Amino acid sequence: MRVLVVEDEPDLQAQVVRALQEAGYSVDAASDGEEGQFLGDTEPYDAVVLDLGLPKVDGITVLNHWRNNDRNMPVLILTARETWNEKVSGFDAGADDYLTKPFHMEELLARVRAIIRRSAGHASPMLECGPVTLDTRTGKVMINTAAVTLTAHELKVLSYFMHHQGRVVSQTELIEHIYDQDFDRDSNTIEVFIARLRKKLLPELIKTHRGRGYSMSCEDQDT
Amino acid sequence: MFGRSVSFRLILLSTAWIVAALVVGGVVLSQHFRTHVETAFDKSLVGHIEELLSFAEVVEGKLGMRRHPSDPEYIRPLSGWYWEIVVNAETIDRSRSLWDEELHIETMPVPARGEIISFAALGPRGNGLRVVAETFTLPGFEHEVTIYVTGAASAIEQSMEEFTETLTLSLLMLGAGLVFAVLVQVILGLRPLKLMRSRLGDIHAGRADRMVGTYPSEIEPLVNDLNLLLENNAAVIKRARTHAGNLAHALKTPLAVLQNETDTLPEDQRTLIRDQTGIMNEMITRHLSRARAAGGVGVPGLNADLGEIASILKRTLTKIYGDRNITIALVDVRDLCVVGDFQDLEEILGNLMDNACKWAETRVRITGAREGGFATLLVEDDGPGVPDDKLDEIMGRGKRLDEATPGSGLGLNIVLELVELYQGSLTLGRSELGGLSVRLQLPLC
Repeated sequence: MRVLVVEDEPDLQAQVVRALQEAGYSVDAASDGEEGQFLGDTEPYDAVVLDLGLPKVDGITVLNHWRNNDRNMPVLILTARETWNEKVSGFDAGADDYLTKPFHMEELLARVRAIIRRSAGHASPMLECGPVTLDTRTGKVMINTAAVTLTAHELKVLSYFMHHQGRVVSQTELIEHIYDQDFDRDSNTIEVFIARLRKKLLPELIKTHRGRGYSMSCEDQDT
Repeated sequence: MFGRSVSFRLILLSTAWIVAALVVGGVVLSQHFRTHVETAFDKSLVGHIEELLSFAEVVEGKLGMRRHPSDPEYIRPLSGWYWEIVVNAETIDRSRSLWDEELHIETMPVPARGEIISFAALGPRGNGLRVVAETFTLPGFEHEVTIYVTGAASAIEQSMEEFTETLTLSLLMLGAGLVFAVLVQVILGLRPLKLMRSRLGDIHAGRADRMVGTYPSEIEPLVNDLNLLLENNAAVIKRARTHAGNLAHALKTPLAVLQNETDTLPEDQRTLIRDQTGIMNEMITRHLSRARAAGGVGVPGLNADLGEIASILKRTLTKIYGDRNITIALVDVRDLCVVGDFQDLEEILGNLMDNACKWAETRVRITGAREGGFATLLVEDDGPGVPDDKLDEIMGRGKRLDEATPGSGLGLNIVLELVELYQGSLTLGRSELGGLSVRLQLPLC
């Protein structure tokens, strides 16, 4: 899961980026509205944490721009202004959630998780695929009742598939959502991660569609 | 009340002037007319003197009358028309109309030779007379001859009466016409002021945000200044809002950094800093809300539709509580225009509806009504509600009854302050849905 953080205050930006990274997300950061808008336009994010009071272009304008250009990734607005008027304009511009400063980092993480989950159409924080369950709150993976230990990258790949069950995901898409901007991307590593996931979980959990990518289909799995 | 009305003052003063002018005019006119009538009357009497003089003749040193004037008035007894010829205080001859009475010439003044005098006197029966007398010397007669001629004063009085009647009637009509003209003038002349007053009323009631219409050049500067003042007021509020927002942003971002940084600290130090940053945040929120709200209170021309605000908030809250399946029902909330700033009212209702959503199981209901001069909104939820003895407590400062539901608990307290600023009221109770019911009352516009 790849998240964009648009926040002009460097300390707060660093804290949010670190917390999100620790929670297993690939994170890009922007320090002003212009850069944030550009990244949101060009990179496929699974969620955006957007400050409203930004230099150059303000957050509401950025959000409006994205929504008018069919950029529909979930957006969590982060702002110091907590009047209902601002909340209303934030939601009307297309925000999915709203968090006022100061906030507890756990709450921010919970909300980011929730907007990603909701945008993928899942109501519960527990994602299930056959016998495999993923708790999005803790990153804990189980097969039936047995816990499985995954590396951070394996978890990212699994999480992406769990959020987009039944859909064919190309290798490029997977790379874009798993690595942040600055990462040296290598498509071979994806194959490695998928092989490891098949081994650790179920061999037939992730199917290969030659030339198109991979898919995770849950109906076929035996419980 | 009348003393403070410009119209009343103008009408009163003008009427006083009109009455005074007409009374003085009437008196002067009637005096003048009397002089005129008396002069004409005297002139006719002088004519009679001359006639009498022409009938006088001196025969052998004795004065006698060849004949008497033929005018029947001088023959009809006690007609009031008399004449008497006097020499050395002795009556030589007199009119038949005097019958056996006489003019008391001894009480009357005697004109000098060649002089004509006129005066009022009483006749034989006490009737008013107008007397004209003249003294002559006749050729061949050694004594001065004085001729007195009288006419009935009632003739003069009758003319005067007729004249006064006509004059009074005319003056009364003129006065009525003038007063009517003054009324019309005052009403028409002061119409722009009246218009201004009704426009001001519109602004106070929140139906308008500036004075519209064309005004005469005398009050146009006032209207323009007023509009400028209103615009300036709006700008000041907007500026205060922006400043408050900027201040919030400037303070809260560092607070967020500070709060997040404490996560790396040991538990005991973390609690202290978290508590302190929590208090700072609470204070900032509280005082900024208050500052923002105070700016909008008492500013004329502000109003908002509670129903519109409720539906805007419903849209937003539905998104916020999207995964909890809460139904927000709006009942009879249309046409609830209340006096107040849109953002302040949005803040009040936003906090109330948000609280209801936080506590609700599945249902939140907003019911509108009009009662007297107030708009009433009942915000209810089907949550656990609040025990009766705790109802007062949750209005208190930043109090939270249940730590399980997020939110500082400041909401209701800030709402209460805002509502009181707008002369409204907030009552807590138990809803028939099972949870808390908050009854918000605000003055209608």
